[in-house]
Amino acid sequence: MSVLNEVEIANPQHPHCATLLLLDTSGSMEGDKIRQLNEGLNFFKEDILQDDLARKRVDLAIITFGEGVNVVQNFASVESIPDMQLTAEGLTPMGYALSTAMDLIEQRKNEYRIKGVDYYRPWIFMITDGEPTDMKPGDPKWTSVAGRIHEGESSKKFLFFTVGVVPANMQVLKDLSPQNRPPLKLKKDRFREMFSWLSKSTRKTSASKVGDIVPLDNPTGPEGWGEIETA
Amino acid sequence: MPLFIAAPYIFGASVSGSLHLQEGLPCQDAYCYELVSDDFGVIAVADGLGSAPFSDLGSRLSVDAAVCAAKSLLLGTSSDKLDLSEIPVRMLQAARECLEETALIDDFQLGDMATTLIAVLFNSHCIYTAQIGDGAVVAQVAGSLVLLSGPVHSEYANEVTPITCNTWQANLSRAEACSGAEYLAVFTDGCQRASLRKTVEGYEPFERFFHPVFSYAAGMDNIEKGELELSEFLASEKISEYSEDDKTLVLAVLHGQCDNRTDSL
Repeated sequence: MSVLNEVEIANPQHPHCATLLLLDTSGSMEGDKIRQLNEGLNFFKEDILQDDLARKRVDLAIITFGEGVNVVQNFASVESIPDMQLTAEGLTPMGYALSTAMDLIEQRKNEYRIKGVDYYRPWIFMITDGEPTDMKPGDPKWTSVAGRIHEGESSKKFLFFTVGVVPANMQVLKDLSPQNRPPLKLKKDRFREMFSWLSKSTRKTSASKVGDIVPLDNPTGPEGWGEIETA
Repeated sequence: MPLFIAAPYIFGASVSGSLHLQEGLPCQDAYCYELVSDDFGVIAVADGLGSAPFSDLGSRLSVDAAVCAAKSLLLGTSSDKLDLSEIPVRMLQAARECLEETALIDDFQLGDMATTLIAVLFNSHCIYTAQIGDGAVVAQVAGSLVLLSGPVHSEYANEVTPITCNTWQANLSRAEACSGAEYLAVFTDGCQRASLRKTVEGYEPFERFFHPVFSYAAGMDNIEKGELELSEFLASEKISEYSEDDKTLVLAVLHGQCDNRTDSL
């Protein structure tokens, strides 16, 4: 019997890659948009599960905002999350949804720290077809939420991505977004392509090694799913 | 009765991680060690960054340059003028200069050879270390495990400062431990998850990893065989399960053992 067979592992767990989807389920998403969002979401989960490493490392949470702000799925491994059929109704309480998302990220990172789990920089990925109905540019809530996003991005607390679905107010999304990562406008009927990009990017991150800069595919190329509004 | 090797002695191994094997990439870790004039042991361990195209070259050049520099200093300086505690830092400097020269001659960007580097010097009284980037040095001193040098705190799993960074000198850490060290382990971050417990306060050496490993090192009777078995150990499913990264582990036995262990891997 070899003495090295007696070795035990100090931290028998994979580093975690927290991804939070912040999804607009307001009434205006009714119809084709919510159908494509549901299909894209379930495709995303299936795609992650195809990847051995990402399956073990991606930690997914889903928050919806429409008829209230709901943490429909707190952070969990993708394989433990059931298929979902989100429904569209209500207003667009984006401000409260963003605060909830940033709180949930902090809470999760704290759990990682307490449990000694290594982790990658978390992602917040917001998809909306509107503008916030619970805050306006310049009001105290806006100032607090936008400031928190900008500070969180610059101090590397998380990476913040926003996608606007027609007829989203792209100027409002731009003001909320960090300067270095403007919002992308989803091309018509490209929900699946967008989720495919997200899955690929998440898989790349979860397979990255120490010091890696993870190059993401450009979503705004001719074959991409998004475009940047320059006007 | 096996014939044990007289201490001090050093042996080590590097293996490719599963991702590099899948992608057909070379191992980006490297190590080099040497016993100098029966009094000193010198070890260098490096982990080339996955994002740098020639990091395998960077790590190899760094460890070779570091050990070569230490050897020159130890053999070429009279003992009254030798400040042993400075030698690991000089090893890092030599590695950095070597990479700068290579970048210039071969027309690379310095960052193309980005690598971490740990340099260690020991004799029968003291251990001195200097480190840039992650990986760690663990010693057993008077029966207790001590994390002599560890990864600089970085919140996320994929962040590190390499020796090719302009701020490398501000980011290097150095340490020393005097008297009573029995064993030494120097390793890259591919072994971290197996060997270090991560707590809110920081990292701490994991006894149930190091005690069997040091016990194995103490029972060595052949360096070549030991390195082969260490490679097999690092490539084993148990060690690879939670890290797909390259792995390097160099072990040193500093004092003679009375252990009659005959275990092999």
